Amino acid sequence: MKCFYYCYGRSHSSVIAAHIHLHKLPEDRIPSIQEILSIPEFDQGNPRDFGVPYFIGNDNSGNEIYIIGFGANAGLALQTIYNIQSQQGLKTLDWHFFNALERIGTLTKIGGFLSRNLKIKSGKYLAALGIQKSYHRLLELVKSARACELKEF
Amino acid sequence: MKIVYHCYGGAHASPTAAAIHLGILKDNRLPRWTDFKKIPYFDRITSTDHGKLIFIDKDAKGNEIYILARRNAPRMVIKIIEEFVKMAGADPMEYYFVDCVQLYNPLMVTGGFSSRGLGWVKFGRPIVILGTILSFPILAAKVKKTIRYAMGKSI
Repeated sequence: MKCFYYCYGRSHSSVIAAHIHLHKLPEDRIPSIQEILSIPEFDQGNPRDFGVPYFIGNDNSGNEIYIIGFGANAGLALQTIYNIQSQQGLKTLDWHFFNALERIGTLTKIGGFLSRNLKIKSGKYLAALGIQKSYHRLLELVKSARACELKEF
Repeated sequence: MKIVYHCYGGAHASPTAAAIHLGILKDNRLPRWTDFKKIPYFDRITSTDHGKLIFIDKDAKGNEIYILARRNAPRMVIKIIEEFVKMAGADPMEYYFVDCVQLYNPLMVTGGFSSRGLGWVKFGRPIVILGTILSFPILAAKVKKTIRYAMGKSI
């Protein structure tokens, strides 16, 4: 199975969710700001990479974990991917998509915008703080991903 | 080769380009009003078709001709198609994407949005047809360039 965590820019929520999934972030406590900032892919996304999946690792069951950003066009992106699956006749493909963006609050979005769009470095600290506040929701997302819930298009 | 003509809504510029490519429309004269009925999918695409590679036909050289609606995210949609086709085990290099939106054409935008976006077909369709006729030389030139490219690749 290929599991895709998606968000706006492949910078924050999807990155954290993927690392929780791979046990690289704690599940029994909220990580510190430094732990979040030490994730290599955190706050690194680029609009040029919208639509490009980035492989993070394999989980304990051998499932491939990816992150991907769709900008403001998640609906169109998912529709495109669904059509590719159908048109390639790929009935056996196991691609599952999980929306990490809907699990975070305004703080991460503002921090992300400041950092990625306005190139204000302190934005990433705001984004990390927002991740801490949304952490329990991201844990729930990962739990459902592990349970192999299918994303409805 | 799979040639994909794409535009915002997949309903006007790209079906017209595909029709020129396949010889449904003559590329040496402006189309008549009645010619637009011959164009597959012209002013018929809906939002549920966005992101879908819609097969039209094969050209004389065996290239598959598609149209694609990609709204205002052409780069992302093309990347998605390339990346996920590759992930599915097929060859993304088979695809050649042709952007049919060249110039801002207010008649095509107004007519297209009215017909497809608002459902005002009787109002929007004549306007978008007029806009497409005005854009026709640009589309025809684009298609000729694409055909030359495809011929070069097949040698």
